[in-house]
Amino acid sequence: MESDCLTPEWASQPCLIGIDEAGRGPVLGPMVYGCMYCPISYQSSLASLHFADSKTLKEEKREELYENLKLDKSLGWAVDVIDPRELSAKMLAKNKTNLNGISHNSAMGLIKRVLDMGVLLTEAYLDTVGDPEKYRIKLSERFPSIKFVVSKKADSLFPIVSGASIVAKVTRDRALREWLVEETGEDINRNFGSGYPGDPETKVWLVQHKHSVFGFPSLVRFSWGTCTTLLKGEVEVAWEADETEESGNGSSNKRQAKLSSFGFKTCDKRSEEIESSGKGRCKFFQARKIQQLTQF
Amino acid sequence: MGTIDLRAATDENSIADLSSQVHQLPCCIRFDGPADVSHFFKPQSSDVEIDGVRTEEAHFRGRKLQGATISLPSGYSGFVLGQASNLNANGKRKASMPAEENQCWEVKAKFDNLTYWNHDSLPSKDDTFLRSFHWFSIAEALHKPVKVEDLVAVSHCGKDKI
Amino acid sequence: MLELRLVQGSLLKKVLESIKDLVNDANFDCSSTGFSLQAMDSSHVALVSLLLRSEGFEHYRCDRNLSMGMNLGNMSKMLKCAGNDDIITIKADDGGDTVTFMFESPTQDKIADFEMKLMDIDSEHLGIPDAEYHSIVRMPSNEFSRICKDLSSIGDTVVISVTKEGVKFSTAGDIGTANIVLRQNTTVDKPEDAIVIEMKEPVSLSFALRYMNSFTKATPLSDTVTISLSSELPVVVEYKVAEMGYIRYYLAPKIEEEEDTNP
Repeated sequence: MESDCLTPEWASQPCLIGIDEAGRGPVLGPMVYGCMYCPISYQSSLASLHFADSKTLKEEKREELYENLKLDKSLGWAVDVIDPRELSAKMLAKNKTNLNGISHNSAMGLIKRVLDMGVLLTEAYLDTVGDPEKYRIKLSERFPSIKFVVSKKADSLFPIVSGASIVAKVTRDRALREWLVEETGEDINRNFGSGYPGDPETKVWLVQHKHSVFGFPSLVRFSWGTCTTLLKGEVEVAWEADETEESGNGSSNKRQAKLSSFGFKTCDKRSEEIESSGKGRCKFFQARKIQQLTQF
Repeated sequence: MGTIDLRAATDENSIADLSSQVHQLPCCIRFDGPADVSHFFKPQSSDVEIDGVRTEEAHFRGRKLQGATISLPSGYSGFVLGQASNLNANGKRKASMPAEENQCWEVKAKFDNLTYWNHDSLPSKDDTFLRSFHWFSIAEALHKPVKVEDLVAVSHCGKDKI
Repeated sequence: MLELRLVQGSLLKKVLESIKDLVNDANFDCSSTGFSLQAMDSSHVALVSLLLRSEGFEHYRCDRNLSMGMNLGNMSKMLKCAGNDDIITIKADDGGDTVTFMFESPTQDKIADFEMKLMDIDSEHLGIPDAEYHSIVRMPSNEFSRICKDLSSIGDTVVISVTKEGVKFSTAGDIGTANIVLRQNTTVDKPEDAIVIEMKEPVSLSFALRYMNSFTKATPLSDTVTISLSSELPVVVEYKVAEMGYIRYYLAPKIEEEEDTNP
């Protein structure tokens, strides 16, 4: 986590904050959440800074705006860089968190960080993730003293969110450019492309860096459908956490829920039986999964 | 019937020592053969210590693994067994040996510690893998020859109760 | 002692055909009120609840509550040996480890006894939470079956939406999309052909067609099917069993999990 750490002089004035993300869709690299905040009294001057949705700006312009806003004493900013390893690990964990959940937590983490610095936040503007109204309620419950505005395209509607999107986008681009590839030995090149699954350069890079046992370098988000598709036909790896899951279908982003999440009581006897390979033996062995083997 | 040839284990120099290189993963990898483990699998020591053991972290296929390196109990060794070549001098399989029933194994490498990994949970004494070590002390008690003194001690105990 | 005599034996055959694809083993519970079953499929996504009330049997004797674990595949094999017009009697002794199915031909000239071993199945009674449904759709069962079958050739998930306009079934797959809209229609000759939509609130939910198709195996049991929906709750698909009970299927919805693939 990186930020402009010093508590600004204007912290005790009512402030607004804008939050946006960069690198949510790509199949590789970190996802970055950025925020920008300033006193509400400064809001009118924001417009003159020419912030616009970071996607509509050229890279050089973004970099320039980023350097300028860092120097602006009336603006504060912070970023949360979520490592691709962390994204994959959470989405593939035993108790899985989906990308929306991770995004919500990151945004709330930024708000908390700014509040903890002593900044008096009264208004917050966010680009929506999932249903705007549900997201707004979730945020308001967590931070009752802040008025939240959650909308689609917030990054082009509110300059404070545009600013946050520039912070996030520049941070993500730099992180990807300077990414230290953990894996060694192989000829790993850095022509990732944009990282979006549809980008031909990214596709080529993924195919070139595929490994039959290990999958991909850890820059890649293993939890993306693109990876699952590419790894079909490679060495199969089975995890206990996935045993009861249905294989996903490319045409739908929906996950099959279980009845137990709706208050239906279930009994789990069966899965335990399968799990214990010491089946049929004394409890001592069963509990420790020790099995007698006469041949291997 | 199969046999295991442990002769190589007694000779320090003839086999590889794989200590600190053996990993037990919490998944089933349907592959048998060499892989670039050291290029891809990079365990890192974490700050968490549990029951006096420093835990480690690694990632495999996008999953977060948490593990611990443990020494095998004294008196026990780990061996990597490989199939002994059932070939005679002419390079032909001996006719009298049906492949499945008469497998001969020999020691290819040994290790005296290993790292076991959990998916999304910190290693602890309650992990079945560590608990399976309980068997060692039970096996020892079961197989230890009974001495006269032990019998005397037991019979004394009995008298005390009466 | 348990003795249940069902004149319309074909009903039991049909009941079994409509649950055996969903559940492998299940406990049949007999009490003085009726013969029932509740079981979840192995992935805990769907639940089937069957009730045949005692009044529907010609003769119903159940001295004490009895739970009989059966392999439904085996039970189906045995019931297939009964003729469609046969009278079926289910018999079991308290504490016994077998159940007997007796098939009598209508003319009483053939009597067959099939004895099946019971199984020990661990299962607590499954709790089904009470719920109020936002929308309830009643429609001809063969129409529903047809829709599920047609949509599953295009996609694997059906979105069922109820609005003021009617009920819409839609799917999307690699080859394209499909939408089927049914409007309320009560001006029909036969009441079972009516489409009745009671909507308190509009709803829209997604379900796996694979399960829906397995529910429609119950179509021969009833001319109509009732689909009850509430947002963020499992759907209930209910078929009435000829004046004596019902078979209800509960299916957990598919819930949103976004993964952006576009910039």
